Amino acid sequence: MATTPVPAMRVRLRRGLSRSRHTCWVLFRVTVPTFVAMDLLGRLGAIETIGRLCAPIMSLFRLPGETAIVVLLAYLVNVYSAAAALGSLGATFGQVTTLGLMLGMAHALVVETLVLKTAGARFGRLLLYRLVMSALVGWTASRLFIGAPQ
Amino acid sequence: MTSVIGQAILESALSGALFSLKVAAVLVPALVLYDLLAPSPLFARWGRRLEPWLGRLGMSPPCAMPLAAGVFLGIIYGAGVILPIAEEKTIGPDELHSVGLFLCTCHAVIEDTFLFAWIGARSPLEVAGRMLLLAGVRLTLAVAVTGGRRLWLGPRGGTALAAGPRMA
Repeated sequence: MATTPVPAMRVRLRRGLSRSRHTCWVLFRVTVPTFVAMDLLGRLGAIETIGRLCAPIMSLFRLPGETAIVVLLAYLVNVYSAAAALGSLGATFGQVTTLGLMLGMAHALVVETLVLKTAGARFGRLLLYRLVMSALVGWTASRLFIGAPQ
Repeated sequence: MTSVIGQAILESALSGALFSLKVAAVLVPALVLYDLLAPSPLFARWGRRLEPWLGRLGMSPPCAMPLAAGVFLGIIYGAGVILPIAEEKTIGPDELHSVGLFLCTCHAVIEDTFLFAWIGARSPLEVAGRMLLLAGVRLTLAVAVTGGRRLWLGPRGGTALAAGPRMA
């Protein structure tokens, strides 16, 4: 590893730019449909219904019920769609911080677990660990960053 | 009716596009900077200085590369680095589990933290503060969990380490 030649600046720049272009493309491809879908769901009243149904679970983390959509999107799809949904819902500083910590711990579970499985890690345990950790971190963060409900 | 729906779709699509542009404006320079700096000798020197610490987390020096790729780029992007190294079998199954545990807790620290850090933030200072908080908590937890696992398993967790460093 110590003898690996250092690639030229141009090669590195090109690699960085191609990675960025890919990231931007994913970001754009995910964000625009998410915003449109969230807007349409909002107009149909679906977000309000989901919010009401999920309020008991989300109140454990002192979060509004609608943020269940953000959590599910992060767990099942990826952080881009979750961030986009959160951006279109709007949230307070404490709520975003709590969600950021929760979802940083566990996200894109399907794809990432497959990568870890292919690499030969004990993916089942890791998946459980991530979900438990996400809940623990979320609970702790909510007590620190979100005031007690009246 | 159709024009109303059409207009609504157009409006939300535009605000979605604006959202991704804002994210990209910061993310692109950060990612390019990482690729420019990562292969530099300075980083390699820092990496070597961190190697003794890897042992305490139940990992040997060959784990450093997949670990760094995962922490900065994420599990999916880092897969290009992580998978070939895992296939070479230079990393034992137990060490691989340590790497997996560490990366599950803390990965893609540039992208993941920034995506959430900037929502609802009123100033660049707040974004930076929240990024540090989000990344710091994940890094601390990752070190605590992998280090704790190593202590829990005892010397068995560091079998590869007992053989000494494999690189000159």
